[in-house]
Amino acid sequence: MANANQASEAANSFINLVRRAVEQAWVIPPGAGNGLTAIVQVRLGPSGELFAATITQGSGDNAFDRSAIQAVEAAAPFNELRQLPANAQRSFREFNLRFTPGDIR
Amino acid sequence: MKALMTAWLGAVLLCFATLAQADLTIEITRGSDEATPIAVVPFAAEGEAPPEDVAQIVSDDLERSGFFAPLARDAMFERPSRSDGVRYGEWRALDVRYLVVGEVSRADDGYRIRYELLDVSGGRRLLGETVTAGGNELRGGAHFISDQVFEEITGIRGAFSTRIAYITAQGVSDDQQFGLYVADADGHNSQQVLESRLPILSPAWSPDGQKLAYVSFETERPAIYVQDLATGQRVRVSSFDGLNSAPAWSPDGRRLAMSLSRDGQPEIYVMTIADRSVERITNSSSIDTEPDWAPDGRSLLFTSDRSGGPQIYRHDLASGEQERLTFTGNYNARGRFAPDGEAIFLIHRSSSGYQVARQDLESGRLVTLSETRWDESPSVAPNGTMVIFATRQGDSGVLSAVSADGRASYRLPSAQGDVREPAWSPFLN
Repeated sequence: MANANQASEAANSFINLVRRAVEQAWVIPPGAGNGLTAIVQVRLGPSGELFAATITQGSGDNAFDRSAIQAVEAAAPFNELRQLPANAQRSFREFNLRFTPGDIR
Repeated sequence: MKALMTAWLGAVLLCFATLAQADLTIEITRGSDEATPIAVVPFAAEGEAPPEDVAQIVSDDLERSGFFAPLARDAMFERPSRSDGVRYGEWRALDVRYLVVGEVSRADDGYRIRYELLDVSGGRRLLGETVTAGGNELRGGAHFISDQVFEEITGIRGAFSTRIAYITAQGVSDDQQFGLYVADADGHNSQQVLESRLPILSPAWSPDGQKLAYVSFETERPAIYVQDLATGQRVRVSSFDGLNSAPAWSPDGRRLAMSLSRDGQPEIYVMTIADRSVERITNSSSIDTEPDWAPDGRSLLFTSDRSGGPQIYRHDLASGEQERLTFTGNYNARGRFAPDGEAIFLIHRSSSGYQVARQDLESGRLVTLSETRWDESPSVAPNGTMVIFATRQGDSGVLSAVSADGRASYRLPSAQGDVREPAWSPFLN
């Protein structure tokens, strides 16, 4: 149970880290209207290096979609992946990011 | 939200054993709306240095739009002129998102400009082409590159290759001189179109960008003229008794809306240019002026003081119905449609003075854009991203521009004397 908690905490902090790093790097293109959403599928290598970032659900606005890809590329590599428990690392080598502008920094 | 995510994450972790590909989605909701960092590297020159610094012109265009923050040249650790061998990692470390590189070389009787737009974070080339420019068209070539780069990155058509018309006034009373000028959108390459010892007012571009309509007092009475810019040929189209003012072209270029006082106080009329027939649009006991056509040609904006102070109204041409649009404050005038027809730009008087404002037509919300206080005559860029207007600097009138969201503004290089009534051209290419 303690192990499960630790694993959950480590995974949680990895998710937060990814979210913060990507949000930090995301420059929303001017003129991108409200209500746009894009989903980017991210695949990482064993050490958290970026293998691929691809749009799986486009927003219909090319500039917006590219800004999402660029944010992932600028935020990578996610070296912290290696701090996850070994059995969790594999599961976090692939995840989706849903880009929806809420607040503007 | 965070607690929810933690709980949900616990559930996800429990599933790890069974789900080889966990369908984990992280929500990204915060970002920066700051200007996009870009580096426009000085273009290499083959042979003698060209008379214009093309990369600087591109960099200035992009910066003025407010959408981009160009990197200072002294921060550039390398100055590549082509994409091969660009050290993307180091540009990335400078937080630059895009790179523009290129080279200018002499061609037969002009120049060849080869440029590339590079996506730094992905290490990809987005654009690469060669532009030819005549001997004195280097600035035009640079503006063309700005247009391509701007559209590729923002998805919005660039308006850097457009032009502006404006009026200048020099001297006092008996010794006054008025000029009608046309210049590049950045204020360079100005050319005089008309000169007069009596006032010239209200230049308006025809939708094809080939003609200007304006008011001239040259016969000592106001009359509306249409002048062909290429040939200089001009025709007086309206010289009714009383005021002939504020011409505005219909989107199809066949009609002019104007304000005439031939039947009493100024009212809005529409003239069919081919046969000069006029149709009266407004019929009130107040002053109705400053018409502007909706981009779809179906309605007209105009300013009227029928409610006591100037406010903006819309006249539907099919039904003849008129509707008041502005309700914020007691002075709103000189309305101009955004190119998409969804907002209007106008002069709004607040406690800070007369300022350029934008009103969303659906919500009715009015937002002040400029930070100056004696603003006049807003005119919208054909891509809707900027508004140019006249304002005061010290004793003289100058031209200034503000982005349609109010984030960026700039002042145009000042011509001689007082500068007034700017009019932004339509797309010319």
